[in-house]
This record gives sequence, structure tokens and C-alpha cells, in this order.
Amino acid sequence: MGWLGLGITLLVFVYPIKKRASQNRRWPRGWFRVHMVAGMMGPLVILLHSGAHLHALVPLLALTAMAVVTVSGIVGQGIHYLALRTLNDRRRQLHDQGLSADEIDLRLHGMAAQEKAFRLWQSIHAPMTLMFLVLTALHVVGAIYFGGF
Amino acid sequence: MHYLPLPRTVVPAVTMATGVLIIWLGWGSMRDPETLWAPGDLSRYHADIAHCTSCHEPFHGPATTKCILCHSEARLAERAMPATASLHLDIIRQQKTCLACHTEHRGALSRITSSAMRNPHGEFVFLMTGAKSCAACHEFEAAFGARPTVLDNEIVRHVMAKGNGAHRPGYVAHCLQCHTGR
Repeated sequence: MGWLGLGITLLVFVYPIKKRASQNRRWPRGWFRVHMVAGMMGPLVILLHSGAHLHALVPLLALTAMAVVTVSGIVGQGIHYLALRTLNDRRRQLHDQGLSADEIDLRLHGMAAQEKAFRLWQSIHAPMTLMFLVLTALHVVGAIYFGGF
Repeated sequence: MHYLPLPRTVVPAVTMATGVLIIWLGWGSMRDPETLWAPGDLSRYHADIAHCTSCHEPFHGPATTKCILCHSEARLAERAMPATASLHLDIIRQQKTCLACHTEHRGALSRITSSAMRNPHGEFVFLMTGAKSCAACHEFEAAFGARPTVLDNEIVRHVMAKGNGAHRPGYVAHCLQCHTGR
């Protein structure tokens, strides 16, 4: 079950790789969906794999790093979704009041800038992935070293 | 969708934290490997074992060859109950794995023997059959926790023939329901 969880979790890395590899092309929407689904399913399978065995420190730290990455991803996506919805609602209101496109952009610029403040999640989500990967690699190597192939 | 770039200090900070964590784990692995790597505490029988490699062969897992360094034929013959010694000496001589019946890292007070490996008959069964070992009547599978099967040999056939069918598999465990034990 651990290998299955790892396999599903590794699927999430296709999205950031694709995103960086094709910066000037269109956003890989399909792989982002895979990123979100695998980012939930993989950790769930790994959670089942860990069961109630929380004795060894290395897998416990890997599990904690995974939880931080997963929760920050869910929170970040939620915040991003709510911010976009608020922005669109406000844009519609201003449009109904008869403001021009330039005036609407000017007024919304302040709101859009506020979303930057919510980007704290991104500063946690992406870098903590490095720690999660390193700890997971240590856990896998340790399991093979002590348990055999 | 456009994401803002990360603050420049974030990646170096997390990389440094990960590096410190790896060094700390390496140091801890030498000082207290059980805390860092073991899936559970060792049982009270093996609690004094300090090194993982006393039982684990690197990249091969727990090894019977390591077990018999302590649980040697000489020690079994000297210290174990006759039936227990006989069973284990058979296992060692046939080069079977200890892991079919034994486990570890389940806590200090846990059993290290599969529940199927308890002798449900009591020592009475050895008086009844004249057998010297569990292996005289049972075949033990290599998989941990697998139930032993009953052999078809002279001892088993003799026991089965007695008691008008009462000695069928699963019923010998309840011998004192019919016998007084005197």
C-alpha cells in the first residue's frame, strides 16, 4: 500500500514539471486536475499504509511533512478560488454601475494586490515538498535496508 | 493561471532546514536507531539488543542466520523444554525461516509468536501421543501466522482411530472435556 501511495503521490509532480517546462505556452489545466486529485488520494493511501504505527521518527516526520504540503495545497486552492470569485463578483457589480473597463481595472487593482497576502500558502506548499521528498526517500531506503526487497 | 514567484529567501531556508534535518537524523541513527527507524519497540525478550544488524541483514531483512547465533542448537538443547527444543532443532536443521512463526517490534509486552503457534493441546498431547515435537504431527508453513496442517502419519492415524472420532482436527485441544487428566 505504501508503494501504491507513493506512485499516486508522484503523479502530482507532473504538473509543476509541465508548468515550468512550458512557461510560454498554455497552463496545463488537465495536469493541474491530476495534481489536485492525486495530491488528495496519494496522502490518503499513505495514511492508510501508516495505520496506527507512528513509532519510528523518520516516517513520522515524512508523514508530518506530507500533511503540511497537502493541507497548505488545499487551503491555498480554497483561498485562490474564493479570491477569484470575490474579484469576479466585484467586477460584475462595477460593470452594472456603468463604469468603463479601465476604471474597473483601476478599482480592482487594489483587491487583486490583496490576494498576494494570501500567497503565504505557496511559500509553504512548494518548498515543504522538498522536505517531504527527502524524508520519504529516507523512509523508503530505510525500509528496504532493514526489511529487505 | 499565473502564480507569483516565491520569495527569494524561502527555498534556501527550506533547503538549509532539510540539510540540518538530514544531519540530525544521521547523528540520531548512530546514537538511537530504534527511535528513528523501528516500527515498534522490541519485546521484553530482545529488549537488550542494541544494534539493528544483530537481527537484520542489510537489504535482506531479518535473517534466520542471525537468530541462530544466539538461539543455537547447543543453547536450545541445554535450556529449552524437550518438545520446544526438538521442534526448533528440526527447523534449524531443515534451514527453515524463523519468521514463519516469530515476529518482533510489536511492543515490550507483546507476544513474538504467531497465535497459531501456541500449543493449544498443552503438554498432555506429548504424553498422549508419545511424540517428542510438534513437527511429529504438524507441517508448518513458511508464511508468518499460517495455521499448521496435520500430517498423515502413524502417530496421527493412531490418535484419530482412538476415541470413536472425537480426536479429529480441532478437537484435541479440548481433551480435558472428556479426559480427567489423571
